[in-house]
Amino acid sequence: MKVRCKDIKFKLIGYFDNTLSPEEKKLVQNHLDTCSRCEKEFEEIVSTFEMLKKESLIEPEELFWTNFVPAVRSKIEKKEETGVLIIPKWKFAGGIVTFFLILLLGVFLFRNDRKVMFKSGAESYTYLLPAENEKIEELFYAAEDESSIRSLITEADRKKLVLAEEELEEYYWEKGGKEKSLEELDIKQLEDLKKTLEKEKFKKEIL
Amino acid sequence: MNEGITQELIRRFKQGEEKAFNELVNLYKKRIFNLVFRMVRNKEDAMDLAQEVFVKVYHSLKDFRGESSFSTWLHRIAVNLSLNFTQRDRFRSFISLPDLTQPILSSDSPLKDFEKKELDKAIDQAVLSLPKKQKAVFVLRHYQELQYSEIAKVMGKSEGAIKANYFQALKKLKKSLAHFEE
Repeated sequence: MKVRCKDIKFKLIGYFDNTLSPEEKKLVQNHLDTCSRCEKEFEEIVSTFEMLKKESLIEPEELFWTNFVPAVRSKIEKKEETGVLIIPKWKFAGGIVTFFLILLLGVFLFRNDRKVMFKSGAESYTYLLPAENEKIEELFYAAEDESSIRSLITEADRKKLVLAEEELEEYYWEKGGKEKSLEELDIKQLEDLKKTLEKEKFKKEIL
Repeated sequence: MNEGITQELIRRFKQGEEKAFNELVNLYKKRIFNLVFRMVRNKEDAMDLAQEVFVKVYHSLKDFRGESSFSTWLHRIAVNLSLNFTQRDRFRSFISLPDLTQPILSSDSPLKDFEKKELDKAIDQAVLSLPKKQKAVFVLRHYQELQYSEIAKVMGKSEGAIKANYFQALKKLKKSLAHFEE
């Protein structure tokens, strides 16, 4: 049976370092006698090992060996003191994912805090504050539960809101013939009212 | 390494005898230093890393169930730490000061010493540039002189794959070191 070069190739190092079985050794020897390409490959392996043999030895100083165990012990203690544990990679990745989920949940809850509960008669409305309506909605929220809004707004803002509330209420009653009080309006009616007031104010300012 | 002595030390450590761990470290420290040094090719890093290997062993030894031999398990830890270290610190190696490792030079000729240093540097670079698996196999076989069957256990590969990796590593080294051939 003819031996192929690719069957011999990986045995060449074993042939060099004498780790082949007697049968394999004979097989390689016979092939090398007849195949110049594999013979050249083998010579290259030999010359590479010859070169690697010239590599210098590196030895740490004796003191390093003397202090080796105390140094390991010190590192172990340090890790135990700082509570640094060897955490498997998958647990670490899980930890990161959990952290971001908690962060996301926190942001979501914070945004929910910015929702305003608005009561109109027996009905109550909850919606996310649009930026332009935020102040006026905060005002009504403050009327319901002043303490809860206090942390969100400064005193100066509060004064402005009170003025805005008065202005809106005044404007509302100016229209006359209202069956509902301002607090009883639903959110859409309030927004419409606010838009109308802003338009009126705008007209006054430019005329 | 005497597997019997090792097993006895592990048993004593698991029973709470801390001193047994020190003996275990003393038994394997030189071998592990040599392995990590040949992997990272920097003496200071290797000194630090060899200690880290035993810190990891200390924390994991209580869970070591002896499914593989301690030596195989230890080599696996050292190889993995070295490979991770190399990846993590590859950037640092470009910006750090030159390694102050002083090889043992026996020649009395300055020219030969210079040539030897150049060859050492070239071998360092050649080994460092090997693909991860090939580097580990090369170090385990060439410097640690482990049997292919043991390397296969350390690396979790077949013996055939290890032989192929070793062959490929050697071919790459040959190419990298071609200009040093006389």
